[in-house]
Order: sequence, then structure tokens, then C-alpha cells
Amino acid sequence: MELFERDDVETHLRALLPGAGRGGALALVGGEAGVGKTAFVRHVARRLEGRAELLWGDCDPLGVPQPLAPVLDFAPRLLGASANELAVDGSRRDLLFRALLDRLSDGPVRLVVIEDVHWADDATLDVLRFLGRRMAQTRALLVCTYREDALGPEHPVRVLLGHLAGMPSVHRLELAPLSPDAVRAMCVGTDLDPVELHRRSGGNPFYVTEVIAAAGGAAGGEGAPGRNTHAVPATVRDAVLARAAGLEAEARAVLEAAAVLGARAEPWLVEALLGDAETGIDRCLASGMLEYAGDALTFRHELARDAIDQAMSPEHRRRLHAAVLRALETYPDRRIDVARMAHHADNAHDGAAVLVYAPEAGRQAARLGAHREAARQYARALRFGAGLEEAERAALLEAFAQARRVLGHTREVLEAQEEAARLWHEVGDVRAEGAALARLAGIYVHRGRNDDAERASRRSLELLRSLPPSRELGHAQVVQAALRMRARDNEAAVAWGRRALGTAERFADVELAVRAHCRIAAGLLLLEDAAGEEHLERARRLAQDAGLVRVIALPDVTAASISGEYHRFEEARRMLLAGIATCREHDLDSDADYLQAWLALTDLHLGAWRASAEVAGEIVRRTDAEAISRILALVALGRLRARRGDSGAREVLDEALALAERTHTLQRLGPVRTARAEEAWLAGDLQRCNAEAASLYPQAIEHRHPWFAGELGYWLRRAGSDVDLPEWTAAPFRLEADGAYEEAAAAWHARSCPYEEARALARSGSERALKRALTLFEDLGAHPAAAAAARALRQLGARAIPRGPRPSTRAHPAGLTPREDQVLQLLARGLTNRGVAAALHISPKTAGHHVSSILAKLDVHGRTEAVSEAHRRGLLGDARDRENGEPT
Amino acid sequence: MPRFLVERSFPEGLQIPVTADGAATCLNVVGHNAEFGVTWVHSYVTEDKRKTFCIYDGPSPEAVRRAADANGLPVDRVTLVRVLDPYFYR
Repeated sequence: MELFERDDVETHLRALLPGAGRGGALALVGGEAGVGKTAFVRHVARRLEGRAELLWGDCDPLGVPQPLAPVLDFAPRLLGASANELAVDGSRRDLLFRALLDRLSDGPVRLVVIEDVHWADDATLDVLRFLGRRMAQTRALLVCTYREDALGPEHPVRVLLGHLAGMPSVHRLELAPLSPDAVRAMCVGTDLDPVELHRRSGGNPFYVTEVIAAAGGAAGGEGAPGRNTHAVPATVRDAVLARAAGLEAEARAVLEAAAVLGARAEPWLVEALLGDAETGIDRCLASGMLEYAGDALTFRHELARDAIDQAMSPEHRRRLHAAVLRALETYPDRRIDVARMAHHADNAHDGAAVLVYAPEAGRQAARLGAHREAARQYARALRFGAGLEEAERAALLEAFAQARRVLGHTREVLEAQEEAARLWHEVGDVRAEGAALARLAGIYVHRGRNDDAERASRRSLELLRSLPPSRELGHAQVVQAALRMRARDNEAAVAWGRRALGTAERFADVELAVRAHCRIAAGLLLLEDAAGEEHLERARRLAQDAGLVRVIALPDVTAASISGEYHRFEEARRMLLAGIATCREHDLDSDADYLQAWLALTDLHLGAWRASAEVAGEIVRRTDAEAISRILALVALGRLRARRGDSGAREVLDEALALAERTHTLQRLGPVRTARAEEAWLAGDLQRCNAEAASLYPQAIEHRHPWFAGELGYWLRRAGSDVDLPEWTAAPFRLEADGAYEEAAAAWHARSCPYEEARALARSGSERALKRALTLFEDLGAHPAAAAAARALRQLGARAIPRGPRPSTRAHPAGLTPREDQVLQLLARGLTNRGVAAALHISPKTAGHHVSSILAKLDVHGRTEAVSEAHRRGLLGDARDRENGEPT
Repeated sequence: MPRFLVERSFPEGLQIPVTADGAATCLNVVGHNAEFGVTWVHSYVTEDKRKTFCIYDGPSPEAVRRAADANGLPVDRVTLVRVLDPYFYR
């Protein structure tokens, strides 16, 4: 069939095929349903025959898809039989991912097409995320088609597109509907009114060809041409049904059977349903409504399958599904695909069969990390589970909760886990009840219900300790250790962590051991005991050796967040960058977010305000970041705006408070309340400053947290309250509260916190210290504090008050900002935008902004020219002493 | 799109010559702003040309500051503002 108006997109797509000196790419081809995505990619694949080896995978519109099905369509051709083995053993899913990447990185140039990814399961989307980020290193062009109109804002593919946005090897192509001219050209030889057809169809190619076919036109089909102009059907469904109505009964029966069978209808199954169907199948093929794809029949488009499927009576449809189920069950030699069986069982309303296949399909999906699909299979089983025994029902509920919680700790997760714990209690299974309560405690924590978490955790320990030691006891112990750690009961956290470690070693449970080591380490580090480091190292080694991706970033997350909380920002920054690299390597996006949020806060204190604003802003703009990451990013942004004197500090800190209050923990409330106290003080509202600090001070004192208690006590003092900071509170705050301003400033200086240093200096009253404070404030861009320091200097009668805009900006001979200067130095080393982005830890887009700004300031047109111009003007190399990008 | 008042200080005074160079400087600012999704509406300059008050539309104070960085312009503070005129009650 001829393709209309696709030449430009085709040229674009073909140009992405890897070639000499050019790596692979991912092309996402989007467009509305029926716009001709399949026809387009098939066409391109034909044109590239001989230049690239073609691999093809399809995502099915099955209610709950078979995990990894589209990948397994082609993976065996790359990896042989090991593909299926790797896919079945979901525990080493990463090995499958790596193997695919390795194979695509050498050998012939390959074109890999995955169709209809809007229906893809989570495990397949993980493959796409993994490959998408690494396509540049391959010798393949990966083409994924998707329906733009099927993606709501929360659709997993929308989230995936967000994750891949800005990668230079990821391209988005859009197929537009046809123009009136194209529709007119297609109508030649029919008596259709092209204007009316274009108006009704919106230029949708599938719609247009269906109507033309039904009218007996060029696209196949054979209705007699009418004497009058054919009416254009009102919807695409009407167009399909009009076309089907032109077929005989036998052929329509084949269409219905095929519609029930799904995206691929095997002829032997059609025959099993209908008896001899040869004539019917032939008629459908001849009319063009069905076609062969490999050894199965498919509709020309899913829109057609859907139209036929929806037009059947519910009872007829149910009977057909039941017949498919029976047919599949009577051919045991054929590979049984449990997700498909569960689908037909569900549509046949056959509860007994659903209870056989859906839990099995759920387990299979969970093994492969297709959590959404696993949860839906378990939910499907539960819908038919009224007659189940309590223990079976409890097991299903727990399986559902465990699969669903990976996607977020929603109310239904909580309710399922609560119900499971209750059922285990009823049947008197003590071990199962204990294990369920420990998991429940974890869910309560995420829901911010810490009191309930404590109760559930204690009860789980009670139950499990009444039995001989078990793995379940180890999990309950590590949950309790985490609870103690979150509340900053550090000795108790260490003690529970050690118990959990003992249990882990007894049962050789490596993942449990990693978690236990991290909890022990956290407790020790919070007690400022360096022995924590050894536990972290052990945890890292264990996780890496066993390839435990789920917990591989846990040691870094633990260590970096504690260093940050204890104001060891330079150390924190090093660990954060290492941790972020680990997370990127393993696609641990939510851990990466949390570390990024910490980085924003760390950079704020280190005086790198622009970097902080960039990272914090990026997380706050996103809607899919977890609450714990969002809280910290909001805190960084709030403090930053307050210190700069910009609007909007209060708003972001209000949101942070609302999120943190749900957790009731010092760990989350500490950063928020301290930031709010500072914001209130800077706004001149001493009463509010006092109230913010007072609301958490007792809790910080109770937990002997040197930094939270120190800062909250500091704000109480500045707001006029008469409190004495205990001697164990952090020295810089205590010194300043005691009036030892210069010593406090020196302590902040030692911690590389320029704003805090200046804040202490500004209170000393000496002209020299005030001038130094003013310079620091101005370098940072802390306008309110700088203005106050300048006022204080004037009151002292000082002369020659330093003032002016960012001296560092002016100091650069070409007017580059420190960040641009930094980017320039990297360009001179031959880095691409992407390389610059990675080195400076900013997005490629931002790197691009800096580069274009440099080009403009140097008045050149390209990067090479920029480097030679910079060399000519002597701008290279001298930025070494401005390494950190921000004046200090 | 929120509107912001951007205060800037120029200790040596702001010099934009009424020439092709001056026009290019202004256009350059406009071009950079577009990259950050911010729009320069207009500005007021003090008599001594040491302070400007610029009205900007943009998504956030940070975006306004990034645009200023790209343009090499100083920023004292960025304040969210709304229009108020003497006849607002009519």
C-alpha cells in the first residue's frame, strides 16, 4: 500500500541508523490510534532490508499483559535459549538486560522494532529505560511505537519518556494525520466526498482506508459501488462494522473468534472454536480485514479488533472466551502462557480457572519485576476469591500488597496487608502473622503512621520470638532497627541491627545482612562512631558480590544522608556523587532522586547556590518524585529563596511541612522546622521563628540530636527565648549562641559553609568582620543579609563599604559567570554537552544553555571557534582556582 | 505565568548606548531569556542609573536568576508581584 506524507519522518528515522562513527539511537514514534504507525515502521524496515538485521516485538492489548513478551519475541535470536532462562529466573533480570546490551553493541547493525509500547508491561518498560539510556554505545536503532492519545499524565510510558528526555541518542518522531490533499488523492476512483471524509476522519489514515474499503474503493474489499455518493460513517467503529457487515456469516464468525483471541489469532484455535473455518478465513483475508503476521491471523488494526469485540453480545463473547480456555487446556503440548489463560478465564467468568492461572501469572510477573502486572493478576484472583480458605486468601492479599507497594504505598496496599495479618491471626498461623505484621509496620512508616508502625513492629517481634529463630524474625528485627533509626534512637537501632545481622548470618540471607549492616552503620554514624564505616563497607561488598540491585545503593544513601544531617557537607558531597553514579548505573531512579535532593541541600550549605537551585528545581518540578526526596528539595529551595530574598520561600516550606508532618519523625521534620525558623527570622517575624523552633526543640533534645537541637536552640535564642544550648549540641551553633561569634565563624569556615560563616561574623560588631561578612554575602547573592551588613557598617561609620554585583562575574574578562567559565574549560578539554552535563552534574539541557551563552558572550558561532577564541584571549586554564564554580 | 519584580544594582551605572550595539545588547537579553522560559516585560531605571527595577514573566525566581546569569546581569532580589492600578475597583 502506498504511504502518504511520510517522507520527512522516514528520512529522519533512516538517518538514525547507526553507521560509520555514529552510535545507536532510540526512536520513539508516536501518533494517534490508526495514524499508521505499523504501516510506517514496516515500510521503513523493508527499505532498510540488507542494511540492518531486523528484530521485531509486539506488545499485546491483553487486559494484563504477559511480562517481557515483546522482548522475548526477539531476544532468543540475539541470545539463543539463554534468553528464556534469564527471563524466567527473574532474580537476575539485570543479566538479561546486560546480555541484550552487549549483543546489540557488536555484530551487524540492527533495527529493533517494539510496537505499541503503550501496552507494555513494567518489566518491558524497564528494558526500554535501560537500553534507552545506553543506545549510544550500541550498533542498533531501537524503534518503539506508541499511541500518543493513550498516554494519560500518569501513564508509565509518559514517565518513561520523562526519564529519557534530553538524552542525545533518544529521538521523538510524530506521525501526523493526513492532509486534505492526501485524502483527496486516496479517494480517487471512489465516489466518496473527500472534504467530508477528511472532516469526519480528522485525516486518520486507518479511518480513511476503512471507509474507502467499505465503499468498494482502492484499499481492497468488494462492495458494489453505489449510484449515489457513499455516506461517510460517523466513527471509525461504524466504518469497521460497515465493512464487516458486507461479509458472509462464516467470515463474520471468524472475525469474532479472532477478536476474542486477541492480537494474534492462531488458525488452529479459530478452527477449534468454529470447526472448519477455511472459507471464512479466506474471505476475511481476501477482504483485507485480517492478515497473516507470521503464523497467526491479525486484524489490520487494533481499532478494528476492538470494534468487532465491542459489538458482540456479552454472552456470546463470554462463551467464546470459555471455548478458547477449553481449547487451550486440551492442547497441553502447546506452551501455556498463564497470563493469556488468566485473561480468557476472567472474560469467561470462570472463577475456578482464574484462581488457577491468575496467581501463577502474578508470581511470574513479580519474579520479572513487572510489579504493576503482578498486582493486577493478584487483584484479579481476589475478585474471584470469595470462596477461598482464609490462609489462601491471606497469602493472595500479601502477594498483592507486596507487588503493589513497589509502585507506592497506597491505601489499598495498607488495607490488603492489614486484612492479611488479621486472617493469619484468625487461622492461628503465628509465624505468618508475625511476618505479616513486620511488613505492615514498614507500610505504616511509608504512610506516615509511625505509632501504628511501632505497635505492629513490637507485636511481630513478640510473636516471632515465641517461635524458634527464623528468617521472618530477622526481617522483623531489621524493621524495628529501621524504626529506631528513623526516630534517632541510635543505640537501640544498633542493637536491633546486630540482632538482625545474627539472624541473617544464621540463615545465610545476604539481602537481610546488607540491610542489617546499613542499620547498624546508621546508628553508629549518628553516634559519631567511626566503626559505622566498616559496616557500610561490608554492606557494599555483600550487595555487589551478590548482585543485589535492590539494596546496592542503600549503603551510599545511608552514609550520605547522615553526613548531610551532621553538616559534614564536603564528605557528604563526595559520597552523594558516588552514590548517584551507582544509582545511574543500575537505573535506581528513586534512590537517585533522594541523593540528588540531598545534593541540593548540601550545595546550598557549601555556597554553590546556583547548582543547588538547579537540582532542587528539577526535583520539585517533577510530579513522580517520592515524598522523602521532595521534602528535601523543597527545603533546599525554601532556604535558598529566603537567603536570596526572593519570593516563594514560604510556599515551598509549607508544602515541605505538610509532607513531613505525615511522618512524625525527627529525620524529616528536623530539616523542615529549622528551615522554616530561618525563613521566619529572615522575614522579620520573630514570633513565628520562635514558634517553629519551639515546636520541635523538645523532640530534638530528647533524641540528643546535636545539629537539630543546636539549630533549633539557636533560632529560639535569636527569636528572644531564653534557652541554654546543652554542651552536646553542635559547636558552631552553641558558640554563636554564647556570643563567641568569631569562633563560631571559624567553625563554619572549617565546614565550608560561607553563609553561616558570614552570619556569625556579621554579629561580631567589628568593622573588619562585618566587611568580610558583607563580601561573603554579596558573593553568594544573599541580598537581605548583605543589605543588613552594609547598614551595620554605615552605623559604625565605616568608609569604603564594598558593594556591587557579584564581583566574580565582573572579574571574568569576557563576562562569563563562574559556571560558564567552568563549562568553557570542559569544552576546551573536548567534552560534549552530555559530557559537560555529567561532569558538572547538571542536565544536558542546562549544559546546552551554558554553551549557547558562552558562544554569545565570546561572539562566536561554534564550540570549536569558542575554544580557539578563548585560547586567543587567554581565558583557558586560569579557572583552576575557581574550580567549584561558585565564589567562596 | 507569575510576574516578578527584579531589582538590580549597577555601582558604576548602567550604560546602554542608543546605537546598534545597544540594540544588540537588548536583543541578546531577549534571546537568552527565551531559553529559560522568561520574558522581559519592561524596566525602570533610577536617575543615577545605578538601580533598575525590571518586570519579568517567568515560571520561578530561579528561572529569572538563571536568565540573568546567562546575560551577565546582577540580581539583588526577585519578588512576586501583581498588577494593582488606581481604578481596580471599577
